[in-house]
Amino acid sequence: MLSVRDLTVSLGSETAPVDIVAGVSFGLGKGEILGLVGESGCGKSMTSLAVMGLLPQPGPRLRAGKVLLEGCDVTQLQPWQRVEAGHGRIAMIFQEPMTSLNPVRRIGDQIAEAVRVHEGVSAAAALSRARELLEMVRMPDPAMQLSAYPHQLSGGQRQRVMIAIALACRPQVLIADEPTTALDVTIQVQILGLLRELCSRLEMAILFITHDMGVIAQLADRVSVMYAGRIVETAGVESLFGRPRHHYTRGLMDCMPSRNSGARRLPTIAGQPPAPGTVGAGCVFASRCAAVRESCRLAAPPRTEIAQGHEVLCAFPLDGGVAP
Amino acid sequence: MWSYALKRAGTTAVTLLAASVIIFAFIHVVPGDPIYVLLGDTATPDQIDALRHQLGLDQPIIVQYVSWMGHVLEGDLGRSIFFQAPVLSVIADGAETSILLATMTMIWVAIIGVPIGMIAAVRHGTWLDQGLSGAAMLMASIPTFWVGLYLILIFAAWLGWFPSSGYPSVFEGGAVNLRYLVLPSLALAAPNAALILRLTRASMLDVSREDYVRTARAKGIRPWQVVRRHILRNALLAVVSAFGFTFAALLSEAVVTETVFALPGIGRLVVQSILRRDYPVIQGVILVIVVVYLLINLIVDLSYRLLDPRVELQ
Repeated sequence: MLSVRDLTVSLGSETAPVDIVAGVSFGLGKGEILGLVGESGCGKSMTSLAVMGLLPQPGPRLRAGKVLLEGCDVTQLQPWQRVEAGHGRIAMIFQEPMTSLNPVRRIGDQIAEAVRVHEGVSAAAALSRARELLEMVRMPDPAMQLSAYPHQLSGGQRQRVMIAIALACRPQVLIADEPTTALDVTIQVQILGLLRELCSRLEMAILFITHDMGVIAQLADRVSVMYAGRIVETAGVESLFGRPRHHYTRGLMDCMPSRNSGARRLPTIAGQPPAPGTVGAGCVFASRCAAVRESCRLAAPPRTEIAQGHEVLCAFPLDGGVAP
Repeated sequence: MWSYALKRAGTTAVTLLAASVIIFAFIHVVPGDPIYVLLGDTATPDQIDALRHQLGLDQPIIVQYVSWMGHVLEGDLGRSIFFQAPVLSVIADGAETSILLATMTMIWVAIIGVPIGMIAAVRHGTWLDQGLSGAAMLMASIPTFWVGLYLILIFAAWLGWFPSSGYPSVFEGGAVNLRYLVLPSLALAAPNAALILRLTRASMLDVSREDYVRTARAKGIRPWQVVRRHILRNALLAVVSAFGFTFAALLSEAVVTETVFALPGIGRLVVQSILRRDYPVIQGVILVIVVVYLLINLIVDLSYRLLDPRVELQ
């Protein structure tokens, strides 16, 4: 469906680029949900915008790598150029449903507009399709909501509208960039359930970006952990949570509160991620890694497939087992 | 809607009352005396006293205010000391020029400022944007009298396409007299179009960074459709209020341009009346200007309601 190879996004000049996403690769099969997890600033949003062809201009640019949609190269194409080239079946929803809809236009117009881009139908047909889409995202009273303005809807309803807009192109791939971060926990559960349902019903692949390990555990089939612009570990969700191999992934899991953690202080990963452009030749996690060795600081670690479908970017990976 | 209108009318009345007190007080604080302007240096004390009594200027200021206000409420703004004519007709003469001049100027501003601002925003960061923005900065910085004088020199003196000064009423000479207003309106439009251009550009750039514009691009809409359907309307919200205030300012403050082109407008009427200490005219004109500002404010607010569904009138 979607294949991303060595994606590199850079800031700064042509001659002295600063890579904020450095050689990210992943693939996404039909109906699969890949979780992309990492802390703020690790480059996960930039990765998603680059894949979607939506990098802000002027700003970061896609310096190297390829984005293949069903085998077709769409790397440097913006969404409208993809539609024109016949590769428009990829859509995206965003973190902020409150600001992601145009405040002065009706919901129905905004969905119908997306329908008409992808299907050359009349305005009336597009509007009735918009109603169907609102039904698909389980919007209460869809016919009424067509003529509502965004400010008349709640955050959860707006995110449903965003999903309806995304579905207008009958996507094979949906990129969801922290779609539930701005929502209440109860609404979050509903939206996640909806995404899961749509994924299996429409056989749509989802690239789900979040910093919330709990959400990933519920939703994803596979997980990629991102740190300082690189994917440091990729595995099936059970394999990753059951047996993390990268010291960073392990650190993240130790930071998660659990029922038995009680009133005890949660552990943290000491230090700060390196600022973009300050990464030298060695491993990006070397400065914070508990198991760092001298050789880690000198040479970048190899990417190794340590078990079936489990890749790790570490010279001395953990050999498994989760702390109690 | 009706309760909004009532509230609005209430605040308008209070504003007008406050404005009238301030106008009256300030005029009488300013040194100078209309009697000397009318009679000259050679008048005898008896003549002065007689005229002062005749005009009611010998009474306490409170009494003068109350009597003036009473007449205003009856629709009578009094008689001009200098013109010896009703203030209302003096203002009406100036208003014709000012309204036509301001309207023509706003048309230039709209057809020059908004589209060029749009182009600069769409071509943001290119040499075209820098050229247009630079030109706008230049236009905003050049004084209108300088632009006015050069327009007269080129289009009136050398080319002879337009008259250089004065304005005979359209009610006497027909619409063809509007040609007298072409050069002054262009002179006035230069700095105002430049400001609207810069505002349109800045506002469009602000809006183009909004999340919903990214959503629109993600839908696969073509770039210029994104501008037309998603950026423009939101960007114009900021421009609309600037239009209102620019228009109000043009009606009352175009003194310099009116002077350069010898136009009988409101701006010049105010300045000359102040020099002549023609109290009734000053009071009347300023009161009318206040009313115009309030009205334009109201129109701007109502137009927001049309442009932005989030605005509820309360």
